[in-house]
Amino acid sequence: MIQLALHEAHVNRLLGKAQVTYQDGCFVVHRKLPVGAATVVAVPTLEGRELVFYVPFDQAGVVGQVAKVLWGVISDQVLKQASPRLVAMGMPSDALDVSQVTYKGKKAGRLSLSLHRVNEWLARQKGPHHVAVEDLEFERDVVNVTLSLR
Amino acid sequence: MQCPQCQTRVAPGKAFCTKCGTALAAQTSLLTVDRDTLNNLLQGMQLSPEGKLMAGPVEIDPVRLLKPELTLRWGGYVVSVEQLTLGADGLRVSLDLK
Repeated sequence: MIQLALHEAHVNRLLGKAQVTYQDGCFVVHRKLPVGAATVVAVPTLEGRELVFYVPFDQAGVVGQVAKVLWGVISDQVLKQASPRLVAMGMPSDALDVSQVTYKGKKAGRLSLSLHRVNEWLARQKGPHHVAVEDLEFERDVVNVTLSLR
Repeated sequence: MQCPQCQTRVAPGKAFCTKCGTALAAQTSLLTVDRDTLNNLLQGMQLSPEGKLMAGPVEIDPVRLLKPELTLRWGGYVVSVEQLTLGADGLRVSLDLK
């Protein structure tokens, strides 16, 4: 096994200028809107063999409305930009899924990436060794990635 | 953050590990590779049961192997190897990313 404990600061360096930061175990998405700007939290978790991000937006008042609008923007970008890119890389179209669910009793956006599909894709890559993602943990200041090598 | 020596979780901002006293870099990531995986990756070399890197009968200093480039360039980032520890159970590397 290969285990990488990536410090929060390094995760943020890798995220670069994507208008996303990693804070306290969550991804914080910053977006400029036509009027002002908005921030939405995406809670990452591993469910079975799926990497899932929950974006709660069932909040009272203006914050909830802004989050709902921003989720609309994010889901639209995922469907129009991220999905085609993954397909162009050779990933099946069902690797990424976007839906609306109830998370901890509140309405939330749900974005999931199938690690099974990712690992199938990794196994098809050329090279002397094949890497597979075995586990992901999102701690307060560290992202733990466990990989296996075949 | 996590102590690279004993893996104890230490509150962010602490300069030393609260358990073993190891000096903690402010921003360090940790890469660990277990013995089997490392031997799979090493070509022409093996990690001995004593935790020594061997090329046939010759022992190799892993730090010397990496020098003078303890700083690696990867995908537009600069990865600095802060600490490299080789033991019987595998490899442990503290990294900084710039």
